[in-house]
Amino acid sequence: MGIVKVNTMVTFHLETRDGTRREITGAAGISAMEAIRASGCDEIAATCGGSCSCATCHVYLRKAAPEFLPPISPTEEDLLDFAEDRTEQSRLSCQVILRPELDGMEITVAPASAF
Amino acid sequence: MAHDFGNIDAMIADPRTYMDRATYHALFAHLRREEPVRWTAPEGIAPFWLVSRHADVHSVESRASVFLNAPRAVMRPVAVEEALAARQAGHKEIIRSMNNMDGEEHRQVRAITSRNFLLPSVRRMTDEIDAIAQEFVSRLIYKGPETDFVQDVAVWYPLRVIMALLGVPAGDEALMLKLTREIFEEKSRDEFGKQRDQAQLGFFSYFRDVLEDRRKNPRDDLATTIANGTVNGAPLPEFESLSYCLTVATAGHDTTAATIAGGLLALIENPDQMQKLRADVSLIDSAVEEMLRWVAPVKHFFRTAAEDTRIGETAIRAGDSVMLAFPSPGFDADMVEAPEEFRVDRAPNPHLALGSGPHACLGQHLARLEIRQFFLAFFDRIDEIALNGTPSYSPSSFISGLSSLPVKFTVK
Repeated sequence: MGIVKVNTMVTFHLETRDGTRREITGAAGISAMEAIRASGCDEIAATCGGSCSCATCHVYLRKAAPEFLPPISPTEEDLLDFAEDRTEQSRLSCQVILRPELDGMEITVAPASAF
Repeated sequence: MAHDFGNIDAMIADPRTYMDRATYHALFAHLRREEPVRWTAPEGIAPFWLVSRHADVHSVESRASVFLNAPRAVMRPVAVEEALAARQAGHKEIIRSMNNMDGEEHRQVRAITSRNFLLPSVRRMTDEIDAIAQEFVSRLIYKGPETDFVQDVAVWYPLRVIMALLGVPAGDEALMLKLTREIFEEKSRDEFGKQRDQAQLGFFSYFRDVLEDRRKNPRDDLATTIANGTVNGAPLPEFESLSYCLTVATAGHDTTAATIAGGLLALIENPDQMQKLRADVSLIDSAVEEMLRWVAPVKHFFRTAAEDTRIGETAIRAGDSVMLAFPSPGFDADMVEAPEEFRVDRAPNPHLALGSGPHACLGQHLARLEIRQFFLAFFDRIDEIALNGTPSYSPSSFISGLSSLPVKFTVK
């Protein structure tokens, strides 16, 4: 991972559980989870505050260049394994750090998981 | 309204400030309004920026590669830090645990036990925690109808849960409680160092034996997981593995006990909220969040700036210390509606009592479950409950909460 420039804004598309689509803009360096929550979307509970311990920020990522995404850590892997609706596009949005190369990606909120 | 707090530097360092809820919150309301990032230099303590607003605490926590947990995690007199550094190869803290680490090392050390604390793992413990909660409500009833809720019940329940997970037998729980209090309480400046040194040695000699045993005789407990933990393929060094045990053994119960006791006091003081929750126990999860916001037993952790940066409008220099006052963001009116009101149905509730970002509380899902199951069991059995004396708080600028809550109650 290179150094992420601060103060660069990154825009992505969010599809919520009711199918509504909207554009969200957040500063490079923060997580997609933080950008989504800051936009007022409460479908991402992010109960653990971004410490990668709850999986309540599970999303599907599309049009995101994998080489610019942080690799899935063993802890994130464990949590995704618990999620019933895991797909190849699954990530925890608290682990997706925004950077200019991810501009234009599409994020869909995964169904709420009952574990 | 103007309020003369006198010497704020001294107040922040004085453990008695944290025993007086009204004064503490009035002081932090003043700080959020007038000096949200305040240069604070108590006598005998290395100076630091005191951060009190929600946006700023959250921002510092999320910039974890700029604001580091090492080398300073907790406020201590310089003399104590120097004594620790002299005997620990420059390390100024009594332990070297997750709270003292950053980056990849922090991630790996946290990951040694984090699987056990993930939300899905914790949810699988619901029936066991529920059984323990019922046992302690039964103990409350046995001790009643008049009792000290903190000393007779609240401190023992989370202790039982975390010690069972860690692998400490029930017969040693009283020793663990005594040592935990000696780690957190600040009775006087003189004792600040000596008492903690003794407690650290007590914990370390106890867990040295436990870890040695688990390497030979592995069990299904956290002590075994820690005993066999590795970082970069190498075993966790002894100081770090003992520190890990001490962290789990101390952080895992005192805070939860304080939240349960403080939550009960808030319900007693707000009978309409007690009634609302009793009438609709489906509010239990939002009530638990409100108790966490209201009590916020962790009063601070430090960060140290790795580079020149800013917090809000304030320029911070590389090497500066930053104190994050975790209760304060939960009372920041910019983020929380009518923060002075205790509301069991509050939503959203963006308190930072458990922290956020990579260092957010490891045991947070377990803590929430313990508080939840306790109150569900409590409402099942206990009818009326009222204060039966004056509550008091423990003296600590780090982790503090109710030390006594005299109550009288009737059983359904």
